[in-house]
Amino acid sequence: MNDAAIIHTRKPWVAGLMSLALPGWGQLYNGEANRAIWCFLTFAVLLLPGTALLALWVPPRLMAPALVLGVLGALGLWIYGVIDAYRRARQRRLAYAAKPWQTSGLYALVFIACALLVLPSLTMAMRAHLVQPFRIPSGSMAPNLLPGDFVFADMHYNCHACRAVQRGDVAIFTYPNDRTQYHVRRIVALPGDRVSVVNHQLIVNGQTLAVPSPGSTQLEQTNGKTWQVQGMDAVADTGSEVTVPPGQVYLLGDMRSTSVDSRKFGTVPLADVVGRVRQIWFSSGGQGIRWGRIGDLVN
Amino acid sequence: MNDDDIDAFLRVADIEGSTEGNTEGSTEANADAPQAFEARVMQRIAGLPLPRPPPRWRTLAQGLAIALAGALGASQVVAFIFGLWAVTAAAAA
Repeated sequence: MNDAAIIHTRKPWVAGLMSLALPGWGQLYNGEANRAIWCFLTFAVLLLPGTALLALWVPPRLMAPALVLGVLGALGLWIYGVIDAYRRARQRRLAYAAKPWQTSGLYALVFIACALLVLPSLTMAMRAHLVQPFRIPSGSMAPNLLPGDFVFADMHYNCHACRAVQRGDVAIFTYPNDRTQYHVRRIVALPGDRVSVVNHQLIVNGQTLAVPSPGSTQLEQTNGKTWQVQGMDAVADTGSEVTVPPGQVYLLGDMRSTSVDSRKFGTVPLADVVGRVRQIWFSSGGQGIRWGRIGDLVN
Repeated sequence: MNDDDIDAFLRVADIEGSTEGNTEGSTEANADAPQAFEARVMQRIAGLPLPRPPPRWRTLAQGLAIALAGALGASQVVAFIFGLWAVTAAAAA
């Protein structure tokens, strides 16, 4: 008679708790190595990084919904893994012969490698290279971004084989005066461009960006993009043109009268531009939640 | 029949039972058993020591380790799932 069949029973609550701690871990405890591997891979690679990658390829308006689906899928798989591990351990509660590799040392190694190394690394990689959410604390990009807006930024941007920086992009960049901070401004000029303000109009390479608009609304347009600006009438003429040095970009806030931007801190190295704002996924202010802004694209 | 015979018979019965995978094998084996065999086996089994339960500290340590790993792991999983929704402040002034 095999002693292991008596001594090494599976405890369902242990299997469930292990799967709660790490998807697939409870399946490993049940001796189902293949099931454990696929459970973890589906959770850690397919669902969240997969949907984050997908979110960059679907139409911009579907970015936030795709990421919501990823979260729901991951939560669903996590719960399924716990229930599956618990139920399968119950089937092995009385008669189970532990496999030679099922040792406490292996369980600990898998936990440290997957839960403490792989998952945090994947989170950092997704945020650095795919999608990262930002909160807008100031009105320097009003009326397009308001204080209390939460946006998703495309971080697969301004790198090799990524989308190149273009005039009109609302960019996330490392603030030159404090490199621990990210700021958001609009790129209005690229390396080699000439920028000036004449008669309260922004001029890039000799052409005004202002376009005729109804009433007091101030619109600018370049590169096929049109956006609204405010406070341009309060901006004094520069008198002379600024030429953007090679490898640098010129950024302005859409709230031209109060924004601290390239007029104050100078041009920004292109390498410090890390992301492009795409969609508002939540917005709240003094009046409560601004439902109408949720899902809006940032032009 | 001495204890060695009983052990040998138990091994044979166990092998036959596990090979045939049904209760029929056990029945046939029992038919060849000597008289009062079952009673003697049960007497022998009753005299065997039960497996020693693990020490209390070990059970507690295992439970504590699993609970800690569960809490730590669950927090890591939640951080992973909602990692793409944890906001960073962008821009001031």
